[in-house]
Amino acid sequence: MNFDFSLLISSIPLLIKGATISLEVSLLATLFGMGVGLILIGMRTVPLRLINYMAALYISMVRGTPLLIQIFFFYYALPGLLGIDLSPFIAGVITLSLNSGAFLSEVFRAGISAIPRAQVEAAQALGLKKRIIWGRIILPQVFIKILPPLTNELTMLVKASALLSVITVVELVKAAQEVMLQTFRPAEVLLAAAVLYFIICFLLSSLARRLERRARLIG
Amino acid sequence: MTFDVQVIINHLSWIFHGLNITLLINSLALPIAFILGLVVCTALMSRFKLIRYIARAYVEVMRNVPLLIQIFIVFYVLPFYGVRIGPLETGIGCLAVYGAAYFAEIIRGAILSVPRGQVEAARALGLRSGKIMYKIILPQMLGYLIPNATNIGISFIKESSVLSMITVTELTFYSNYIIGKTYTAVEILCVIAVIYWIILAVFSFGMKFLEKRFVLSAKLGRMGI
Repeated sequence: MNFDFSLLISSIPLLIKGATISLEVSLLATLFGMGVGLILIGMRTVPLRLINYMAALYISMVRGTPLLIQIFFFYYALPGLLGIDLSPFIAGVITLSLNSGAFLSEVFRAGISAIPRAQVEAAQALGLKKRIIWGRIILPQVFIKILPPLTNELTMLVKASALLSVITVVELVKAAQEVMLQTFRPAEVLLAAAVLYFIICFLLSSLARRLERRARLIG
Repeated sequence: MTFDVQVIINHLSWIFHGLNITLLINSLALPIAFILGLVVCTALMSRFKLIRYIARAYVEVMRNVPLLIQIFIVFYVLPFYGVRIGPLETGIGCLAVYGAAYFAEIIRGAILSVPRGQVEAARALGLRSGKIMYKIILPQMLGYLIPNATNIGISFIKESSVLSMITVTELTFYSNYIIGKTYTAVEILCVIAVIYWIILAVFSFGMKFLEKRFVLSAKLGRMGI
């Protein structure tokens, strides 16, 4: 069996369509995941033991179970529990957001603890309200600091979104599988998919490295 | 909606079989990945440019292509070229080769975490490079290495669930199988999730124990002594 390069080329438009879905899911999940992460940070700093424990339990649960199981849970188990049907795409975005939220809350925490304590004290001494301290002083600095790990998380999510093919989200892997079924040539199609993933993720992780260097220069 | 415990009890033998396979995969793939990682790490830090480039390319490819695609390539493409490997062997092999790239990077980071001046000082004192590695770098790098290796090990054990996609009969495979048979997704998924959770808790507890044993050297490393 030889390698058919023309097939590799001709499968690329379909695969790129899948790749855009992969990127779309990952971007949405990073965005919503940041929201989840911030809520978790809030839950952990509230002076209420029960809520602190709930956040810790949530993070431990998400980090302690495979993403694949979480995907199955949101797609197969949740509809039965709540009586709502989620489309594969929505279920995928929800799962990835809730998953990355747990990881991003740690990223946020590291970013917040890197802000010098004296700044907060100075702001308090000036009589600024808590909302202003967070919204104008802490979070803007945190966002610059966490930009590199955030990009890393996006890269992780692009790779993780490959698993959404199992609940029939037509992202890159699923698109590749469909082309494979039509052509019966796994070598060309899978290689093309691998190359596409590599290009996307390599660009993203290079961007993360560049941002990291720049963040270090800013100090 | 009720929680049907009977389903779990009925399929306990399958769940245990899946657990066994998951443990087998990880107890084989993790050490192999670490040893391969050491090899790749020496290549990453080699004196020869070509070897460095090859190792770097290997690490970047492994880290930027999803494991699922890598497994599919080995499982579906190789048979076309006359190479036949069973799903379990494919899974363990892929996981080990995949993990080696991650281990190589953290081992390299651990070596570089030891201040360069110490190595120069040791060399100035006339220590041989083997001794420098064993007596100076190794004890200090463990404080960096073990926590990072724990994180990679954890994500590794979780990623082994992906092997269910190529019919390796591990935990996640059975969860799908039983759900397909009985339509009791909630019960089975909860049980499987808890099992993974316990495996990971035991693993990180073991690694914490290791870390505690080397805590002195870890502290010294942090103080820059």
